[in-house]
Amino acid sequence: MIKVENLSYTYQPGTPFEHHALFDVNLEIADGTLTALIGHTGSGKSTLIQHFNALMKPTEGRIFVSGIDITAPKTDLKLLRRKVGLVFQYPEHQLFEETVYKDIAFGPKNMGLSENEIDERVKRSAYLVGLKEKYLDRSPFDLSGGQKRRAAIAGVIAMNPEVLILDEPTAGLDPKGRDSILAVIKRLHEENKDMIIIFVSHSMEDVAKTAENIIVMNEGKVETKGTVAEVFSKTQRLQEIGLNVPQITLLADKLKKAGFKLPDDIYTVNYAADAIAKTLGGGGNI
Amino acid sequence: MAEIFKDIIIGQYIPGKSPLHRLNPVVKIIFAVAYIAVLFLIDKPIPYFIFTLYTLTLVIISGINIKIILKGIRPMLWIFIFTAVLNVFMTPGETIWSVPVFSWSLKITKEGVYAGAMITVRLLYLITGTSLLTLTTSPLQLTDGIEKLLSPLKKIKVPASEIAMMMTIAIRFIPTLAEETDKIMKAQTARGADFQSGNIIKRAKAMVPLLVPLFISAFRRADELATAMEARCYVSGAKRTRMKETRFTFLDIRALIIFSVACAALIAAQHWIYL
Amino acid sequence: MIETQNLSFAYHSDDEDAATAEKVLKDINLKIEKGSFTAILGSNGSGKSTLAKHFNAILLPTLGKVYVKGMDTASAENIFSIRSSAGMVFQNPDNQMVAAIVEDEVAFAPENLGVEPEEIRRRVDECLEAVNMTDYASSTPSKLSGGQKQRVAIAAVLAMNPEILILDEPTAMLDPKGRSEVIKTIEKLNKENGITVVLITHYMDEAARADRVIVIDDGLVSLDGTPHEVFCNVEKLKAIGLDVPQVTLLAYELQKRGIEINKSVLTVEECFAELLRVSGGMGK
Repeated sequence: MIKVENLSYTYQPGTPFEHHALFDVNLEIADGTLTALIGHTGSGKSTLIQHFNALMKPTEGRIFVSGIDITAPKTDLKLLRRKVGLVFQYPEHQLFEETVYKDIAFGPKNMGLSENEIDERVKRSAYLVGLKEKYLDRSPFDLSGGQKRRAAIAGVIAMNPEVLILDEPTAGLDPKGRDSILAVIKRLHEENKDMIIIFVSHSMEDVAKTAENIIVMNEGKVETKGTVAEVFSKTQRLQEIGLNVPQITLLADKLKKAGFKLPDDIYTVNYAADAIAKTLGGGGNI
Repeated sequence: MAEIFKDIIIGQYIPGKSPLHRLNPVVKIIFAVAYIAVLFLIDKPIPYFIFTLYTLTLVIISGINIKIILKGIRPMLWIFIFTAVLNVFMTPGETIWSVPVFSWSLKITKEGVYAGAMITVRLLYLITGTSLLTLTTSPLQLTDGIEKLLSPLKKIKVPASEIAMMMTIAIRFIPTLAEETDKIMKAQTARGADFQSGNIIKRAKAMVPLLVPLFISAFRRADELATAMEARCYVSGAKRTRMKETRFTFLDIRALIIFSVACAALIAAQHWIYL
Repeated sequence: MIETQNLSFAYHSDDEDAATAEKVLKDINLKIEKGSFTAILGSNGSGKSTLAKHFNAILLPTLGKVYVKGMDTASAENIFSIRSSAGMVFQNPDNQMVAAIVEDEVAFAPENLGVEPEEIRRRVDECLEAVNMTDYASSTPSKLSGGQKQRVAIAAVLAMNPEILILDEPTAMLDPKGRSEVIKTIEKLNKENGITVVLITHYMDEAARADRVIVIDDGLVSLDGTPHEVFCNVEKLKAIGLDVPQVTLLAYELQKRGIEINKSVLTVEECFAELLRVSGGMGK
């Protein structure tokens, strides 16, 4: 479990550039959950996730990962970073080895694992991200954009983290690439029952399709959190803070106001189609 | 980590309207060169004292907060201490203090203290002087000034405009690449890379996961930039016009006179005053 | 404005036999009308960016011809008139900026063209105004947001007084706020300043705002028409790996469920009106 208590972070305190990036953030994220972190640029999302593996130190407050206070001065950072894997934005930019295999093996190697263990982990993580084994011997720079990104994600998964955090994993990809990454996230969630997965996204549509829970950040604070249905029921507030609510949610809102009898938790097209078809077909044309 | 980039102020420009900001860059570059030349010419306390007054006056005229300049000196502190210590202990002369270390004795000499102090003061002013130039001159003006100074060399086939363009681009990309370095370092640290421990060979090896991606990205950026420049009709070596023509003004002439007198006074002090 | 005739293109066609080299573009015939707003939609590797690079002579056809304002892009003497009348904005805002100050960036192109200093000043002010970045004239690009950087990049191209603006995935690296800033700027330039716009993108919501959508797949024109005409081909677009607007997809799904609804809806309002029609004015 991740527990964040009264976390605040201030950039360059005491200078004219002082800037409060996080302000009294309190969160609890349970094991085995898939959570989306959403908010626009400057809302504090990236600052928050960098705290989870101690790349940043809080100005105030504490963070516990599996009961260990990672903000305590004597925390073993190397051990912590094995527990908390962080996939940065455009992770393919960190690829550097001659082959995909070696690149994925970089993390496990730094952990001092045996050759056998490394081999096992490389193959398993390649499988989890949907990279075929034939790609392992190729240079990472010969892969396509989407494949490169999956290889980079595999490099983090290979460290077997208890918590996996992905910062805007679909940024810059075309719809096909985006869907393949979202599918990888879902698969990781299904195959690792205890792993906490958190991904940052700008797209409410991606979040609706993929996540179980949502945390909405705004101006360094937690604006709202809950299950996807709970958060999507606050459409108006989400629009006020500048998030793009999916068309389907807007449409459902409008239809309900016009007297259509629809459930409150519509946020995917298929579900909407079923519900609307039911009211139209079942209730008939009045 | 790469946070160090944030403290390096050389190459950072702080816009302003002070007389120092308004000077013609060509004049400013000449001043900076003269400033450094004079700094290395003097070696007595009174000229140093006068030099300090000059420097302080320049800082005040520039309107730049002295804290910003001091902040720029901070990352160089270790170099200062290192050279100072080296000088203090290594300069032969009249011993004022010594400790035996095994069969050898560590000596501090009067000359050493003097040399150490002088080298520190020189380095300090060297950075202050160059920082004042870059803090009050926009990178574009700076390259423009260098281009103007180099332009007589065009006759002997020195590509002055291309050199200036290269400098502009380099200055433009410093913050971008610094940010990128920071990002890649963080990403590799998250994968368990260790940039800080081990011996020199181990550390050099640890740089590979940083340098390879950095170079690849730099090449990609260079490639894209070249296309973007080409799309905007840039041709290397072709004649270009300039939006901002720099002119010599009264201010430049006045500054030239004041500066020359000040330099002359200093050199005179160095020559005629014993201390 | 722009016309392609049997345009084919293969990379490295010099060292291989042009006929056997793998073609990125295959026999493309297109005409882009003056004053129009055309979106070229395609997934990565479809050839859409390669096509765009032909519109201002950054790439030259392996076979066939490209004409910009009647000028053949393959003849060297036209190159500057082509590049200044068909200005191009690229994907990565950081990698297309030359200068460390916004206004110097905008001045770069006219300086290359040998424009007089007073005229450059006038153009720079005007172009920064057009993209709403006047307040940032003396900022450094590295302090700007992605959307602001791209607007500067647009101004930097406008300073050549182009009639056509070609944008190669200008929003792919931006957040939603930056994306909407850039798209609004493009729409304004098209509607108010009469600039012909060619927008290369893989975002269907951006393409839906154009007058015309051309879908490129595997180097071929796969669909071409108004957004309404193109987006109701839900199955085809899905097969190519492109998105359709959620409401269009909804209409398609409803049709599959036996409801007689018009598939060519793009906006929430259109879909809402269509559903009201189908339901015979539900509720009330």
